[in-house]
Amino acid sequence: MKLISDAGNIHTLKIAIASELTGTHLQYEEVKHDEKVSGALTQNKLPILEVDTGLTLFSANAACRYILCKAGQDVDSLMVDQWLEWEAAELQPVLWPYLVSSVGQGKVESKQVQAVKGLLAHLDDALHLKELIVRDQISAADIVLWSALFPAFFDIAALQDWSSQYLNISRWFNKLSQHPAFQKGFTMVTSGKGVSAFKASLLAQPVPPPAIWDTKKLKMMLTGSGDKENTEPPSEEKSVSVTAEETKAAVAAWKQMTTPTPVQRTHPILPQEGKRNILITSALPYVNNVPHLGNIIGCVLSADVYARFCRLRNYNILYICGTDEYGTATETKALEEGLTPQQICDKYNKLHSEIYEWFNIDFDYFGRTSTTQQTEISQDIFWKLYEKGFVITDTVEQLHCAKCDRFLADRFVEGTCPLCAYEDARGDQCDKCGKLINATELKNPKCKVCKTTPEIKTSEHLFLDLPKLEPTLSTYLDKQFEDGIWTQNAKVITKSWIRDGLKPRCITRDLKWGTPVPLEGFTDKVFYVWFDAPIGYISIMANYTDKWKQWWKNPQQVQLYNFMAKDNVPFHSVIFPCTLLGADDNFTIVNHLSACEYLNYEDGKFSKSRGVGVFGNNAQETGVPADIWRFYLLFIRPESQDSTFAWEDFVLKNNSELLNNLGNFINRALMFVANSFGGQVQEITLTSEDEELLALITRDLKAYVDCLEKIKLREGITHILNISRLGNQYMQANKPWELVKGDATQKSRAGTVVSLSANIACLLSVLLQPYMPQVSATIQMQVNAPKECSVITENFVCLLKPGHKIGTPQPLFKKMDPKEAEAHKKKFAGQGDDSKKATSGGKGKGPAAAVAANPAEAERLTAEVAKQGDAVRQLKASKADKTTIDAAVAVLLDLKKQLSAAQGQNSHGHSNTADPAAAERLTAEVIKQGDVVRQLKASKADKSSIDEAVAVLLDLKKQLALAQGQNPTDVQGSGKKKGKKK
Amino acid sequence: MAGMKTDIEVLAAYLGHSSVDVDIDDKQKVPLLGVDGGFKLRGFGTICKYLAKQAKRLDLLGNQPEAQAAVSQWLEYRITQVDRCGTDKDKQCILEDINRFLQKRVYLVEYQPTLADLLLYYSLHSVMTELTFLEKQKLMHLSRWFNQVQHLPGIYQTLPVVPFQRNRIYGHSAH
Repeated sequence: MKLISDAGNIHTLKIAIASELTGTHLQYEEVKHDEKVSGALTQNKLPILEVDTGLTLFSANAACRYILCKAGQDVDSLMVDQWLEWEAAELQPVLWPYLVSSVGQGKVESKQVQAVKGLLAHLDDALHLKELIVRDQISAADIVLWSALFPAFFDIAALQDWSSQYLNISRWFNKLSQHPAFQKGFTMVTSGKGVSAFKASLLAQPVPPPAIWDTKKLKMMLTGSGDKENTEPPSEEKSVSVTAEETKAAVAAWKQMTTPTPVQRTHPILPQEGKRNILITSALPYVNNVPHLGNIIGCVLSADVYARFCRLRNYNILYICGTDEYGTATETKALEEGLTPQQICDKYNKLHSEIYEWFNIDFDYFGRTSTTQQTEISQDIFWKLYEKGFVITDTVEQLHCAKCDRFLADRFVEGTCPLCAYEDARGDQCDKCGKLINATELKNPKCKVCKTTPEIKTSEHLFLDLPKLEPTLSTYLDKQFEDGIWTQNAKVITKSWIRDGLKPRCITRDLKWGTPVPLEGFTDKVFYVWFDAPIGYISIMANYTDKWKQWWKNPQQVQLYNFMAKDNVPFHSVIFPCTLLGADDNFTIVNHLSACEYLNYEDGKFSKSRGVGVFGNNAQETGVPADIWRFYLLFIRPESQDSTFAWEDFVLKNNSELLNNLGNFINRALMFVANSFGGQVQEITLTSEDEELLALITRDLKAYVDCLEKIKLREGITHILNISRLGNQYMQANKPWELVKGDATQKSRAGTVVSLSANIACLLSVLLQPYMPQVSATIQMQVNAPKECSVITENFVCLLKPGHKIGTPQPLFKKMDPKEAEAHKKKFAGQGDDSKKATSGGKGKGPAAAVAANPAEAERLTAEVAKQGDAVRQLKASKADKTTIDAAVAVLLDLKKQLSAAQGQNSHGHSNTADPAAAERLTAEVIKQGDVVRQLKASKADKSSIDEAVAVLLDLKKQLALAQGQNPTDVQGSGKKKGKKK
Repeated sequence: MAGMKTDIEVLAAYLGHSSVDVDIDDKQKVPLLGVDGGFKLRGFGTICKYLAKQAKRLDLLGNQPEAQAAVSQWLEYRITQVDRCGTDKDKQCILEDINRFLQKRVYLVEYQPTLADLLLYYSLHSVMTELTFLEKQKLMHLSRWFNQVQHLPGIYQTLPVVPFQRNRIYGHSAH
């Protein structure tokens, strides 16, 4: 054990005596009075007893008792606890200041003496008829109290009559003073210099706080009731102060008369000489899936925020996106739904557009890849690559179905798993053992469409010679990594691809739904999706304007920004650039790449097949406005690491940040202007406090601009919230509600405060625009914002000039009810582990019977299934007769069916029993809400309130369907939007 | 920071004591607990330790001398510092000290909750309630500990749960 202390420390005396008394050896390190020692707290500096690596004692009382305890000399008594506490909590707060006065300054006030005497009397009472404080053994209580009183008794100036006044104490104290351990301890701590040795330490160590501050504080402490006035955090906790230059610059900017005018958007947008021409793309969503929240934040929403920001910066920008439509997956989906691939694409393209529209994604153009331009441009790029010798030919082994006359993509083959003998394995993966397999390795393969057995055929394919293009690519990327904005993950993924060595990649496929390959001998093939999907960016632009080359063949003037999730990085940073570099036709190639990590849902992943998570179309059904979704998704944007969507957190962020911070400030500021000043902005006379506020806001504004320029969208929001926080603090500190009742000067001050606040609200509306466009528009309507405000500069300019009339303020956000969120959470939690396909019994879509999952039963049945499975195998192996086998198989199938029922499959999660009373009530409510919606529409109410009412209506309809015992998804069709879920 | 009388009652309820008879010494404002034999136990920490001992919850007091010493020192710290900080600066200082202390620790003492955690949790509850999310993020270790303690079974009882963010929401440059 090691004791660390300064010289002459009174508390160290306690430890020294304990060590002498028990013969415990302590290593001692003396430090300066004000030395910072690790393990010490601000208020408990020295001494410190280091017991071992895990324990440092900063309380001398605890240390003293611990030493005794280790030596087996502790008295285990509540009385020791009580007296140690009394010393620390009652005696020291009085005695220590007394000693500081008496030993340190040589004079004491009589009040101090009285206080000490009161405590001594208490101790004297307790020592009545006693040798020691607790029983007849020296305890920590004796050591601690003796040490505490020792300096006071030796400095006899004020307490000179103590020994005659407190006889019991005197007896006890003198007896201990003769004890060798006490004497040695004393000598050690004072180095033989007497009481004066305590002086320096006494003055250097922190004074213990008094037991009682004042009555108010006391009341609060004892009753536990929070007296607001006392506990409110200081309104001005400005940890960072602004410099004079910052203030000067901010004030000058504030008074600036002219501001840039926002540029009007006129289509088609084309690059302009001398402007920053920015082309933004977000990864093309694959057409056959409904995007989930992770997809939305991963590409389109992130790109949208950046695009909106760029527009507000008056850059010349174009934001395009569209659906990626070609490929096997679309063909599969078409087969499933019994439609042609084109019909599937039309249907889902519309679904995607609607979802993005609802989320207020402001594309300049949203197109698709199944267009003639796609064919023309892809083929043109292919020819250029071919002519320059970057396309090579090789053979590939593939399964071919003679009946369908086509090569089968992996997903179009089914057969027996070569690894686990599961009979229903797919060509790419076995559902039972989960292993990835090669379609050609499947035993007993069958064409998924016609069930005939395909043959293995070799087929010639075209390859892009990536190794040959590698040096050009590396040179290009080195420069872009240096000059452009690339997220860390994008760089790492790209570099690792190049480091592992590029291989030739097959660019053709034996499919029908795709861009036809124009080369003789390959005309029955199409391009592999990954080759022509990125070309979609170009062809989508070609659908937008015939002058598309001004963007795409203009690397000198155009900067290309790609937004995507991290799984898409190699296609955008390696393969597509190789394609364009190889074609060598002055193409615009990626300069900046922003890749998101993954967004998880609650404690797992989004899963369409299991119905886990909120998908694009569900967001709307919740009745939560699109902007709130946008805000939260951006707030948790998986920018540098995976993040999680959690309902609980969603509610929290809405209620704490939007409602209580942002909404509260803006509404408060505008209500004041409206109610106390007739809606008119007043003369603003800046005080030094206001000027400092301007400087602080400017600082956050600059940081905001810097973040968004660097596509740090998540951090950008925090600066908006900071500005609003500053605004709230400003209002709170100035209390215009009181000023406005005062004299003329105070009233004019109130005018300044609220008018400045209204200007902050106006600034916030602009900064919010990229994140929450509708909310931004609402605020701008409420402040009646002038047009020229829609430009973001690095200056906070006074845009609402004195005399400006604001609109009608109204609350911006609604409180989210945790209960409602809990209901949503349940609704989107999916239906547990759905291994429908793995158990052959439950393959079809069963009737919607209400079966609750029963884990115990499921476990029992699983065991039985396994047993029966073994029986069947044995029968087969022993070549038993067919009827016996069939009977055993029938038993097995039945068991499997029971199992899937017990696992809660086939149930749609609701009990479909009809409830007539509820149905009646709900019918009435649906009719009522329907009227509300119609009225809102007729009165041309704003979109968000209509949307809200519609959401309520849809929800009611769903409840009604349930009450009527129907499956609600069947009824959805009658609603406004078709919520196709499967 | 919260009232001692209330805290003793809440602790007693948590420990399963049916009811406790707590008085406050009017002059010194120190809690007193009447125990068997008409004797009055004096002092907040002493009373809490007594209640734990009576409830046979020796785990809360620490099983080894090391843990016992650590528990005692944190009780003393609560009584003499946390409950008595006068200014907001002191309060901030205490929060930062505890935050720093908890940087590499799950609980205040060793690896399981003790009286030290419970009583500091009670004491800090009102302060934590008033902190903004930004402040809570700055006091990350303290917040993590606090959230952990408040969700221990049976702990919060009458006290409302203080919300914490699940992830960092403010950037480094936030002030």
